[in-house]
Amino acid sequence: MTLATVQIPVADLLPWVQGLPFPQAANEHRMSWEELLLRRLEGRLNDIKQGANTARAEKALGFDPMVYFYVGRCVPAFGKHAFASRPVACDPRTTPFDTGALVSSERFIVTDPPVTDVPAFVSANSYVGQDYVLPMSSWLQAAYDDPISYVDGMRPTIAAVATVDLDLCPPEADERVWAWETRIPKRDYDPRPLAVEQVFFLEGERELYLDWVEVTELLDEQERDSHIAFIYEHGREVPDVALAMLDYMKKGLG
Amino acid sequence: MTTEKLYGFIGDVRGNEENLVAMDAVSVDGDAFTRYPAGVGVAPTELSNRDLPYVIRVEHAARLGWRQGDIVWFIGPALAARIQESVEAKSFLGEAMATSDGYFLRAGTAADFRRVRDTYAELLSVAFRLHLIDSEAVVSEAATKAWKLFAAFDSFPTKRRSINAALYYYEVARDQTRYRRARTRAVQNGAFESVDAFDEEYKQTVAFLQSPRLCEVVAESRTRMAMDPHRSAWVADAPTIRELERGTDFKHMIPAGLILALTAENGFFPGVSNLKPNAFQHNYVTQAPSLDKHGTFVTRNDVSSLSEHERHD
Repeated sequence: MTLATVQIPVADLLPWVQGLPFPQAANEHRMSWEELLLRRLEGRLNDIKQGANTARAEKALGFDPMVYFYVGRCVPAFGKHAFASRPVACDPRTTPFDTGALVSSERFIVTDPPVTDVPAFVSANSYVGQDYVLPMSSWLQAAYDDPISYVDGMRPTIAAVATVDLDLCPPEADERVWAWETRIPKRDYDPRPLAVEQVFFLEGERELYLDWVEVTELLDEQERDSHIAFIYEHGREVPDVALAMLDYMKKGLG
Repeated sequence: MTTEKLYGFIGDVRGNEENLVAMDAVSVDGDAFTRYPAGVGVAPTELSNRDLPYVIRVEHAARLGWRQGDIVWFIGPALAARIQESVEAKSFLGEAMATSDGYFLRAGTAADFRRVRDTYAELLSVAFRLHLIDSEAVVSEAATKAWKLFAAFDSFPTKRRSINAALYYYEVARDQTRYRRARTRAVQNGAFESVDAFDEEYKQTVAFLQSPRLCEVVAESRTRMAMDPHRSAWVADAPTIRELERGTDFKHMIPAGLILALTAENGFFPGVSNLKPNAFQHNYVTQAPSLDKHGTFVTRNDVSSLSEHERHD
């Protein structure tokens, strides 16, 4: 008797990635980078103010306020902190493109026929919960010789949505056309919505963050101990956050 | 001839009010933008127009003296105010440019940023520890200011930072909870192998700081300082230095303590007027750093010829 090899769908190996696109993130959210990071890691999302662009896009998309991640993609413009996570206690929606790009003035995402009802288009191309894993895995195998190329931000040969025409998308169109976006409602979660696997800090900034954690009134003493221990276990200082995250994801893909 | 010049920087301003941090520099040459990452050894990358909204423009950037390959050193406004009050660190702002938003900027390489901040951290560590000996400094918040200043410069998980954090919380803030957490952090962040190892070094440091002769020296210098407002604290005569050196494993603290004094007296740090290299630099500075004429930090290892005459040279 031979044992069958269990194939893990490749998209299941890709974490959800979120960084701080500097520096307007903190300015627009009207809170320090330390508080923003803490709230994101702890799932205390309600008090994070949306940036102006995000709020505008959500209105056009018909979304309630959400928090956004890329599946397996880390844009090089990420700030000095980024983290990789997996959903554990939340109800995500996932689309095979950046929904914000669909309604931005740049018109990066070109479809044939053109989209006339944006919310309906997004809804028709959204996956509930973990339902995105299999279709994303199939697409990765069809669109790239090696899924690592997706992580690297390379342009795919085909789009995951049949009506998106990559050839018609402008040359300056970037990964927002094909990067898979996942989102969860922006509220306070208990327990945490995500299992955070890895946090990257620019070198010399982890202790600064923990000095702030040491005194913030957002945590009680028990939570403080727990968060500090968590950061030392999962937080690493690196010379370049985006490169470290890319390397981390590539290793995950084997 | 390159026409590349500094355009701005990328990084978080909000939240860094009390911090000293490295920011990515962004240069412009014609219509091409280049990002010089803040991390040591990271190659520059082209910056797309899409990312330009994330760049904070630097007004009067030419004044920073930015050169190709440099990053931007960011000094938060609250930290800058502390530095300006500090004898030990004031020179750090000498080459910095104030901005209309209250923070200061300097230009330099990522490697220099790390080296220079570490050099200042060593001086500030000594200053903080000597403040602990002085009960007036503890009561007057001077020790708290010294800790915050040191902690901004030393943001890596070093033994020095771990011990100083514990000293601050136990001796100054009188906060047992945070003292215990400082011990735990010292092991969690890898600075010490175990809590026992941490406790041993902490105990030795406290023993040194409590040594009667050192306390006497600090008390004497305080008296002298009261009589002569131009004199900084912690000046000891040569025999006292030798006596202290013989009695402690913390030799580096003594000459560095002298630096604190002579920084003010002779001003041999950049940005401090009356630059006057003297015999002190050649003979008295041991493992503590000083600056050569090129602005490079150097260390020397000879205090044997220390004399009262040379000290006042």
